[in-house]
Amino acid sequence: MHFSNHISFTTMYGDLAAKLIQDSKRTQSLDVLPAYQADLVNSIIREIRDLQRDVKILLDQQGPNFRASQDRRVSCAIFVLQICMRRNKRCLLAYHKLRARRLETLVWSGFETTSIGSEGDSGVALSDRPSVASGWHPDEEEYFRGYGDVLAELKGEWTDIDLTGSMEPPRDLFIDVRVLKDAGEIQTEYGLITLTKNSQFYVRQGDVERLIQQGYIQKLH
Amino acid sequence: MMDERDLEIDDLINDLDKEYYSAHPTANSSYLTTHKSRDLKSLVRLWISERTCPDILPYAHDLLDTMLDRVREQVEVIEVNTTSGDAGGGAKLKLLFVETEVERVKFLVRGYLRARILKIDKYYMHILNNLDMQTRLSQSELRYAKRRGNQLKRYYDLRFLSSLPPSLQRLDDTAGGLQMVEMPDLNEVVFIRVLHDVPGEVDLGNDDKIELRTGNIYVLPYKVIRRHIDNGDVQLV
Repeated sequence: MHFSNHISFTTMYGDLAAKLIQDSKRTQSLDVLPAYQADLVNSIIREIRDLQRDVKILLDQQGPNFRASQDRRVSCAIFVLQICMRRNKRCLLAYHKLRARRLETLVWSGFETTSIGSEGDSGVALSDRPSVASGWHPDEEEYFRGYGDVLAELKGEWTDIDLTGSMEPPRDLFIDVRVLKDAGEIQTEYGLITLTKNSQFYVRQGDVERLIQQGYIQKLH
Repeated sequence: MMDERDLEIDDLINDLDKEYYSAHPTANSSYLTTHKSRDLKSLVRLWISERTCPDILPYAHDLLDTMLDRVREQVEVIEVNTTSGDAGGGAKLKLLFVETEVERVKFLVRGYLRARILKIDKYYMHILNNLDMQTRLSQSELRYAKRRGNQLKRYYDLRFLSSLPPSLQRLDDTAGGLQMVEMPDLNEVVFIRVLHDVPGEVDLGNDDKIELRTGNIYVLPYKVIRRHIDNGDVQLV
């Protein structure tokens, strides 16, 4: 078979993509977004290009008058190569989509870098907020910031509602909270409250929602 | 002073509204008191429908605008009464009720919008390729879908898409019999309650037809009653 030397079966096409999917599966069960698999992604891109080159070589060998129906061996080979390429692309997409969704979830949960300044009204020192995690690709940091802007604009159109607020149905206006770490002072309609570590307060839920999300204070039941 | 144990929450809120509207004669209080509970019920229904619907329902412009205006008014009521300083025990309690109601409405609106955003995120490519879907979104939602779509495209491009052969760079391929674009499953079966008799019969395919009678509950594929959900004849439960 004159085209067999282009298809090597020592490492199977698709093995790398399978590894990427395994990593995606692992990612789904982790709380933290694991490091970006840059090498693996690049290898898969290279594999797709190799496959594409093989298709081109095969077609070139057939000459300009090649009809798929004439030589079923050749058209079958091309078909298999095409399927491998598409499968690799699907795996790349699945992996990156999963990571993008995880980044978006982080933005929603208040793990945001873009809001510094605009959310400063709670008077919290922002320095000890969680910072952007290590292991992200720079393009991912860019997406994280980009999506943060998109969401910030949407939130800005719904200031009366607080889109990122709690999804628990409200039961009580006032709740008991314990302060987990010093969070400075907050202004409430009943005056100024100083949130020092380990102190407990009975406060309006709406006043401290943000601080609960950020882990400064804890709701008591 | 009234005995607090005998107070109904709605009475209290209406009472407070009356006080507010007698101080602001331009606002129409009789309209509000009769339509308020109806609107709140509509909002609850809308929130449930959106969460159970596999598709994105048409954005409820009028109801949302009304509810948001009311939230702003009630916040004003709270602020006017808190700052006026004469907050005795009864007035204070009334304010708490108004505030509780505001929080509830805010929660419902938030839940409604978040349910929509969840679906917009999932089906954004289908939305951006489909004008009918776009008419079901608000301006703000459509802008969000577009901007997020651009960001996502950029991320994919930078990471791998632009390095692939040109024939593989699309995000909305259908080649090879595989549909890349995720879209709502219109065949999904949903529970519905009929609010108004639907004239004629609904075609279920396979020569099956069904008559939708007011008050009845049916389990049907979403696509056959989509039109009737949109025009409010039936409701998702």
